[in-house]
Amino acid sequence: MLMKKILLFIAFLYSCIFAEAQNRSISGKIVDDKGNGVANASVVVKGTTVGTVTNANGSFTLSVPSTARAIVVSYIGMGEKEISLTSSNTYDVSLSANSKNDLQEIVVVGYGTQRRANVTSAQTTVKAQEIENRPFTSVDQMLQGKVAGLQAPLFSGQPGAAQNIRIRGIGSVSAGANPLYVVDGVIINSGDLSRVATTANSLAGINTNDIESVNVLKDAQATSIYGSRGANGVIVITTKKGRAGKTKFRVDAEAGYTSKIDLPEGNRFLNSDEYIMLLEEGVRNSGGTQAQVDAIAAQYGKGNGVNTNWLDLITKQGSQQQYNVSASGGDAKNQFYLSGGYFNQEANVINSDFKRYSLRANFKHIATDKLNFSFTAAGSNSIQHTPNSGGAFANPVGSLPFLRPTQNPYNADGTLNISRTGNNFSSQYNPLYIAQYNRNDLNSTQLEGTLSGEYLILKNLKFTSRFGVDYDNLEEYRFWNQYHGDGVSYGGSGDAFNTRYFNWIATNQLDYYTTVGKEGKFRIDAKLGYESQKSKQYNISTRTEGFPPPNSLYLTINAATVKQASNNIADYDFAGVYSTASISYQDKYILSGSYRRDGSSRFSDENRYGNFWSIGGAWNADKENFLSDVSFLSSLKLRGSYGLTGNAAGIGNYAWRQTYGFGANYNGLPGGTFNVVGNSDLQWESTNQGDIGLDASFLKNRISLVFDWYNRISDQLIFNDPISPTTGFLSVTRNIGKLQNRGYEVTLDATPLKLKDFIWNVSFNVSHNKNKVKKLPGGKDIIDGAFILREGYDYRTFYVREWDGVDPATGNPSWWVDSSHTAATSTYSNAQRQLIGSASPSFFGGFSSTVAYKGFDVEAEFNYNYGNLVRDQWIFYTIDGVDPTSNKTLLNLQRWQKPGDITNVPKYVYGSTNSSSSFSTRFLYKGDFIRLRNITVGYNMSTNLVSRLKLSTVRFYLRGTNLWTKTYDKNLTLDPEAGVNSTGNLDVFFNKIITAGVNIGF
Amino acid sequence: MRFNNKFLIFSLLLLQGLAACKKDFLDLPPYNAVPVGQAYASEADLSTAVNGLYASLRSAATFGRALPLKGDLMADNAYLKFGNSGRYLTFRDYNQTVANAEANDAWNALYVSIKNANQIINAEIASSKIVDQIKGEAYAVRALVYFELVRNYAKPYTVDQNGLGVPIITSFDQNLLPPRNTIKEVYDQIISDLNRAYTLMTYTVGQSFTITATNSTKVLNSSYFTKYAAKALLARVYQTMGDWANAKDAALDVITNGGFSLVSNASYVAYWANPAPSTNKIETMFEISLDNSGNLATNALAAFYQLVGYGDAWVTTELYNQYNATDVRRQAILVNTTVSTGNTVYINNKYSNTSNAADKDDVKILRYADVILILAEAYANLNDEPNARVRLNSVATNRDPSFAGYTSSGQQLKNDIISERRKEFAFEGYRFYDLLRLNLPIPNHTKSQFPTVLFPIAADDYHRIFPIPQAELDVNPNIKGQQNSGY
Repeated sequence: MLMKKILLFIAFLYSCIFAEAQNRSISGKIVDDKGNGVANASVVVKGTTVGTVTNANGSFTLSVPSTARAIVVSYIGMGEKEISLTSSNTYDVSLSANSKNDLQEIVVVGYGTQRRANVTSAQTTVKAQEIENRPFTSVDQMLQGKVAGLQAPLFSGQPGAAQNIRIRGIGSVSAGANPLYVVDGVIINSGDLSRVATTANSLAGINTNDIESVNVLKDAQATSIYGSRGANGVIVITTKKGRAGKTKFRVDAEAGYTSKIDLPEGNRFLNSDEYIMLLEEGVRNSGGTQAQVDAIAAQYGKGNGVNTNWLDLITKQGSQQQYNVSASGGDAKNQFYLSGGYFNQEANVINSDFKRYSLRANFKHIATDKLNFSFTAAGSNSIQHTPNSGGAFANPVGSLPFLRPTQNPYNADGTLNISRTGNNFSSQYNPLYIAQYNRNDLNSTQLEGTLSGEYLILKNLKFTSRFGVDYDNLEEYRFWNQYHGDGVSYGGSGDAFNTRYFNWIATNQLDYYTTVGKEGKFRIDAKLGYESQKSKQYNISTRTEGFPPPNSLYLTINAATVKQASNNIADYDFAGVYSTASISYQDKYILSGSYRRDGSSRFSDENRYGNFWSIGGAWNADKENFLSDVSFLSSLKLRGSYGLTGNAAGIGNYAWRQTYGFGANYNGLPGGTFNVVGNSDLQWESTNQGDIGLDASFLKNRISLVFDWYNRISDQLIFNDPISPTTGFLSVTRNIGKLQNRGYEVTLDATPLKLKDFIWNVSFNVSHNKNKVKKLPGGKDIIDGAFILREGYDYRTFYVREWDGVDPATGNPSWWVDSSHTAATSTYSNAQRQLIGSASPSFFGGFSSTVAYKGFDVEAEFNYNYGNLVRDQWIFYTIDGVDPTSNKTLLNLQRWQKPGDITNVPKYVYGSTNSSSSFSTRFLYKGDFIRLRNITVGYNMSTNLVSRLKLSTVRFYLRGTNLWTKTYDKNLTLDPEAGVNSTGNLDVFFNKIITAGVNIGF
Repeated sequence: MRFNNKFLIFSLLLLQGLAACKKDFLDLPPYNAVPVGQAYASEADLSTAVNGLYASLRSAATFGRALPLKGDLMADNAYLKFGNSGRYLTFRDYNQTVANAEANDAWNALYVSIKNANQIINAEIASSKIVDQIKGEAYAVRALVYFELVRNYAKPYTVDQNGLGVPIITSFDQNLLPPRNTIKEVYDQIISDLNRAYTLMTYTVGQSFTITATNSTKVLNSSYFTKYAAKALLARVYQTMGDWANAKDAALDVITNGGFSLVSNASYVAYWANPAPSTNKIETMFEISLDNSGNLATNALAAFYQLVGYGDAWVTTELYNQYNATDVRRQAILVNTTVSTGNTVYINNKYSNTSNAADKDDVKILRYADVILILAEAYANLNDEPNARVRLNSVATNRDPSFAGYTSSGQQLKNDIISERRKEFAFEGYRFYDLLRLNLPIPNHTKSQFPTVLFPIAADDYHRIFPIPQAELDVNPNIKGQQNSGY
């Protein structure tokens, strides 16, 4: 089958006919908007394959047929220009960097580039200027609010944290819903690769200042060429390359500080007097005698004179700095881009930081007119300290709900208090001691490189071969000191984990184009390629216990007993054949299609291969004569696409196999159990997506609009289908579900005001997505923690008991028995769970405004979210009396005190067992917010001054990040930007960051 | 033709690349597992599988912590200290709901062990002395697990033997949606499994066997089920059912033929300090081994009692006061005056190896003292009081040489046996289940001390048994209408 296709393709190539004619010679120079020559720009006679590239100075000479009417000049990132030929033999052309929606722009697509005019798919490009010098560790954290249809909510202030991204809603439940990341053609292992660190992100190894562009591929036409891995969207990252010409140097430096984002007022923890007052009231309310009240209050520190503000102690002002140096340039034969970077961020919580050193070298060598080689290589080393999150006692943020203000962090002599007796740290830990001595560290080395060659077999047939590697080596250390905290019962405990990922990908591709018809009215572009990939994770895990007295020696060599020493391998392979073809008629009508056949080791041999495809069409209406007179219209394009993509991410590499695994050892002898149910019928998740789009610009591109409507149906979803636990398993992995995401996206860019020295640009995007569960196994509900999956409802619908309030007569909590709201109950379990709201926003997006006057500019970037609920899952401990020996928040002071009190906080009862703080609608809040993500004030020194300094550009700026947030629920007890599941996990608080920086070019 | 050879070469290269797409490139077996179908084919395989079965009993949701802790915390032997870690509050407060995590986790983990046992029992492998021994172990473990299930999730047999028990699963089928069997059916299954185990097993503690194919020798110590341990469990099952004649017969068989003995008074403290399984047939008949690598670390039962761990569960003063000063068992309780300012608190020290990196405390499941006291209780209920007193006093005077022995009779004798059991098996998870099978209230259930807050539990409090977990109800329509009353 495959062979046949290739033979057909080759036959097709052989059948092509190329005409030759009489020639004349023309020459010229291509310059950018600053007048510098543009090397390697393409100069082609319109409607033919005759062409050349410019030399290092941007000059060219070309022999053109006498029949030629025009030449087309183009360069990636600078678009394309058509120049009519006259009797003159010299042509100087200036190309300028594209505006966002320029139809002539050359854009990056899957496995290559394309002129925007020919694009039939939905995709968004984020340019270098939008991601350079931002105080975030990885590029995925910078996309929030910038790309219509893309959600990238923060979930932790830990620098280097993982980032979940959803493109056009969630399309998978268990197989991973994050997009595919492709860096310079290499499909990388993205996400959190760590095993010890609380959170990590492999993209944090890439210096964001080295990124030329980020292309977010959204619809099936754009993603289906990635076949089995395109269903969640694809993010194509292209790094900076050198250009022929004068060598350009650039130095970027910034420094600043981080502090914790403002927390809702109700979250302030009580001081000692307030806490003791509440404690005493609680004991009294639980029926305690005065003697008991006094005894308990004394036990928990009444009158001990201690009033500790633990929040102040575990938070701090962190420093933030980054320095980047780069050089780029070259000549007609060789071009290069070299860079070095340093990034260091301390978060607002003690012992939470990230440091990265990075290097990059990108080279291109043009051997002959027909042959060139490229080499990209990047290496980085990232060092991360990550305090625990969630309910771990060692989590500094998580310790806040479990400590009392009457506990003294210090001994009388100023040393840290780690006493476990009395009113000290009997079960909780002193977070200051833990932060000082425990470790949870990641040291990650990342190497990424590609070697590729391009050979022009014919002028219009190019063969490209590329080999890429993506290597990650993660050294991780965990240390629990022997004197205080989790390590005490082990006499100190330490892990040394080493994880190595080696991922190679080999791609061979043919690119072909031709023109057909009179004056080449039809243009055909086609690609055919084969790709194979292998990713192997190798890991070593060691655990030791029994550490010697110096608390500073955390390496396992110091410990007495080895508890674990093991290694393991996990791997997966992919192989696929892909192809695309498009035909355009006079750039007016474009029809395109793609096909990929993929195989994966993650499925049984019956289900190992899948076929993926797409078709698309576009109409550049502005090229029609009847619209040429519409003066306000600069461009107008209608496009549509439909196709099928797959998803096999996130499922275990061996999940389909029914296995018997080892490690269930007993008495030091090997033991095994039947540990995976398996399912040989397991197959790809498949997503059908239709997209209708409109690209338009008006008033000489002063206003541009992109609109997309999509309908994305993800079928054969892989679920851990719950089975009766009496089988000995909790679930079977099956393809059973179906999800729909339907919505629209609008992006509007405009320049409302443009005067001599003044320009005002605005950008706005809004996305609406409606998610619906279409099919579940047997139509049955699946309860997933706080959520329910029910057919016809949003995937993140809360399944929760409904809070009725506090009974004014008794102060007891009350819940509605059922949705009819006719009867209330004070017994939590008598209330039925209801389907309430959703964690998925109905609208989200961003907007920005940039004002520039002479050398000064001010840019403000906002993002917003509307229509979802957020849940506080940790308030269980900090509200009401269920855990009375830990501190409580200010909200508790609104408690019911006497009959007739109208309040939402029940009577405070010591050791309350009425479940009042268990999950109910009481702890669901409106998640709507608008956040000022960045505000930047900059100054560019005048050209005169700069040139006197023998420099080319000098810019100073001051930037504030996360300075302002507007929320819309007064009861909110957590930050509303709370990840894709709309809940916090006692993570490092988000950072408010102020930085000042300078960019110098010469 | 303008085509040159280069194009042909590139085309061929490309085709060769495609040909490299061999079938085995995409067939990657795991590095740490084998297909289930190949895992139960030999004596060595079964020996590995039975280790996996025992290891599954170690779960903190079941025998490793929750269930033995429940046996003391839900009764009157232990309470949760102030400023505890928040674990097992529902055991203290008797307020668990259908969503209770302990009920859910124990249910899941116990059925994992059932599945592991079934795989061994159903292995299609020719009978041999070794195969029979291992299958016998699996039968005994399965019985132990069903016993734990039925007494935690169903009413006591003595209250309603025709009530709803738990689903009986004897072979793996991922599509099963079983309803609950009756309590009697579950007990019948347990008795049948234990009788089968007793028949199949021919090796006993201290003996060893060698698997010739792998030349590996296994020494049977107290961490493996053996013939008389299965019989001892049977005695306990009959005791729980109130079937005193059978309980007597089973206990007598163990005492007469098993070759076990009580630990001496002089060795009592050393016995508890020893973290390793034994082969000397002294006291321990079956225990779940926790060793230097296979252990629960901070989640072990030991760490829940010991101050260096969570140290959440402390000993009630009322229990401590039950022991005479001359009772060696009192030495298993530490007296601490520093951890709670101004108060004397008592800390269980039966599990003292929490900080011992080399080996951890095992979980005792069956002790010889239990068999003797079951026999005493059986005699008392069969109105053979002289024999009952002899057996009772053989334990009581061993532990406290200064004690002259019980002379009581009638109900008082039965009460003395129960209180002796309380003292003997404190912190081993017995107390609550004794009160449960006897359907007795728990007047001294303690919520907290300093000041003492008692929370008496009535005999018919529905929280005494677990709910069938919400997750099972959600997925299994056949059990949905069979929730325990009250939940």
